[in-house]
Amino acid sequence: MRSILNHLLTTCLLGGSLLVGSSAVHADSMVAVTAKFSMEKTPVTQGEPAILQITFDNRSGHGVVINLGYEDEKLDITVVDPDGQVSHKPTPTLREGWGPVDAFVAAAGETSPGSVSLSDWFVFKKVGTYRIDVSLSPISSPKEPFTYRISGNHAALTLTVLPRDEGSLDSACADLLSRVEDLHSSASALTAAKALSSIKDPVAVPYIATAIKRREFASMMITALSRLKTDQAVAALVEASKSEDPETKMLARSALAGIADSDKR
Amino acid sequence: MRALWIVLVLFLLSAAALAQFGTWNLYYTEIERLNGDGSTTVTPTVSLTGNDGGNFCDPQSCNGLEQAFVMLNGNAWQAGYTVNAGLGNPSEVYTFPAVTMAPGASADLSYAGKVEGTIQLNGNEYWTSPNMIAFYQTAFEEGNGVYAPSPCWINGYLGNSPACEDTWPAPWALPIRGWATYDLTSQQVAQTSTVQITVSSISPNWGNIGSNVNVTISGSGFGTSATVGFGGTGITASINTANDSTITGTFNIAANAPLGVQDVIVTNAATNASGAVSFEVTPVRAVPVNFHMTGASDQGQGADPFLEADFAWQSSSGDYYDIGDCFVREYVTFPNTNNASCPAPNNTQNCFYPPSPPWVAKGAAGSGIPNPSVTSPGINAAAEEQSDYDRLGNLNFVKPYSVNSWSGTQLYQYSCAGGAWTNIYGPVSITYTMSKNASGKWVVTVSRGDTSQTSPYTIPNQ
Repeated sequence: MRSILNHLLTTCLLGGSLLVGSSAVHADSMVAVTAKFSMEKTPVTQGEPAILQITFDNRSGHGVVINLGYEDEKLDITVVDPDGQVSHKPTPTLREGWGPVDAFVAAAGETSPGSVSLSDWFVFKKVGTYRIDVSLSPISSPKEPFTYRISGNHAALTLTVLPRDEGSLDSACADLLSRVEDLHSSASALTAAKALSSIKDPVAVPYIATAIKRREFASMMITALSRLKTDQAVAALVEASKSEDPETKMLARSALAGIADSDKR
Repeated sequence: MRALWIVLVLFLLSAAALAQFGTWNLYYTEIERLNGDGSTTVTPTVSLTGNDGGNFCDPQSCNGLEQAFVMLNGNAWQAGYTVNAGLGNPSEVYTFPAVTMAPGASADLSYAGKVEGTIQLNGNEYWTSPNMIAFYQTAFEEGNGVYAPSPCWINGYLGNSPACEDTWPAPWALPIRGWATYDLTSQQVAQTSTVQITVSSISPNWGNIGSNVNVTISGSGFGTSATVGFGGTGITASINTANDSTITGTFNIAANAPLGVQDVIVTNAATNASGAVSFEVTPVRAVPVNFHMTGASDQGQGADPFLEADFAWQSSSGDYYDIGDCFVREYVTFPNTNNASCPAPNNTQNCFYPPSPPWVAKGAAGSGIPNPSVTSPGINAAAEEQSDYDRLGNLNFVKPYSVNSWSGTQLYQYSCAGGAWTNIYGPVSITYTMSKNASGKWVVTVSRGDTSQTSPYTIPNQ
């Protein structure tokens, strides 16, 4: 299985020898890439995360990597909610810590998918139809090792949010969890983990609790549980505080202490 | 007229003997779980399937009207079933005699007897209730489209009271004694199954040839002295901790172990073996290597104590996409001194190191804590350098200032395909210092142990 995956990664994503060795990743010429945007799912029900799919179509013979920058700073997104209220994706502010960066492959001669969770920046809790305008910076920055130009870098999308439906939310959580648990692509798993951890509905608790077992996301999921703070979430934190993994145990205990402190106040 | 009624009664009685009364099948299962410590736990379950032939309730809405039960009576498990007549009165539940069940044996649960009780009818609800209509087989038209029930007849059987003429309209109570036979045929099927040891996951489920891999096995029924075996050669397991649901240990993968998937089988003290789960011996897996600083810059430019450090790395295979299943993060350890006002755990609050300034605490003193931000090193490294930012977020300095410094220790780590976090760079000391500069001004400076670049910030309120 792994060899098949490696083969797919190598042939489908890399477009041959694109990224073999750090010196080979630079493409000499400007590469034209077409972007397509869509919502991964619409309609969604209240509480479900909204995930933006970005597909890069690279018909050239040169593969490139498209870097969205710190906190996806190259993405400009405006959301108009059902009541006409407009909100913009926040301008990223450099924060203490390891810089969060999303980047996507546009493999030579291939159509390559990627996704980002809009729930990082927006809340879609009103029932109705949202208009989502997406704009992606069309050119590579001088700092990037690849030179590319993106056409189709604007899109006007809609997202319909239906009333809360526990079954639908449960199904969405199960799907995200399966993606979180997929060990083959860290980028895909990370998007799913961000989306799952952003769900502020008690339905998500058992899925978030299960996702703790993937230790790369233990910190993210424990933070999500402590934010939910339901009885079930606290019970999951208590369970995590007994984990065999010392880091998970420490993080869960710290989160429980934080909940206890906030309750006192 | 009375003779006519008698004829009709006799006719219906004879018809009743041929009537179909549906069949319930009562399935009794004892699930015997053999625990890891050799003890057993018996969990009996009963399920009821079948149909009632439309006699007790409408087949379309019958679900839930019949229930199976199981109970322990002395040393014997007994099972039976209840039937809700579905008369719109949920209290009308008939419990049929329990029979003793035993695993591995069968018993005939056929029951022929009377159902006795009193059904309270409240007006003409039976016209609209499918259960009622199904229950009352006989209703006759009195003319002009008005229907009246025959309260004396239920499913063709004669009730002994009340008289038809006397009991309409409602409310009245209808005794339903007098069921001639209730030919409900049920068959017990007793089964015994043994749930033995199960393995639900193994993490990580791969290991490089010639390496030692720390592994966690999750499941049930392990007991405390389970052993781990393999379907192939070249791997041995040493167990560190074990309880009924989790085993932690190390898989020692020999340098000549065959590449590919092997079955992992857990065996408990009761010598029960689990089903197999897969563990793959891989060629030396690609991991991030040559993690190095490519530069550092003062992001604050005097307005903010904010230092940026840039890093890059390669894939051990030479191909970045071989590390597409990896993450990279930073891991910070905080000092365990100079924190008298910051009792642990206190990671969610500002921590004041007397007399000032207030430092932002990020973790329990003396403990390590991961930065929650993880990134995918394969793509990111190919796309651009990855940056780490050291910034003092709380600038609410309080006079009187004093010379002070505080350091955290930072590691950089990677994890690939769910494996353990492995150090790739560091430790690096990150230091925030309060001091006076050459001009006698109070300055907060961020510095790192791996670069001479600093980020000084002159406090406005001198």
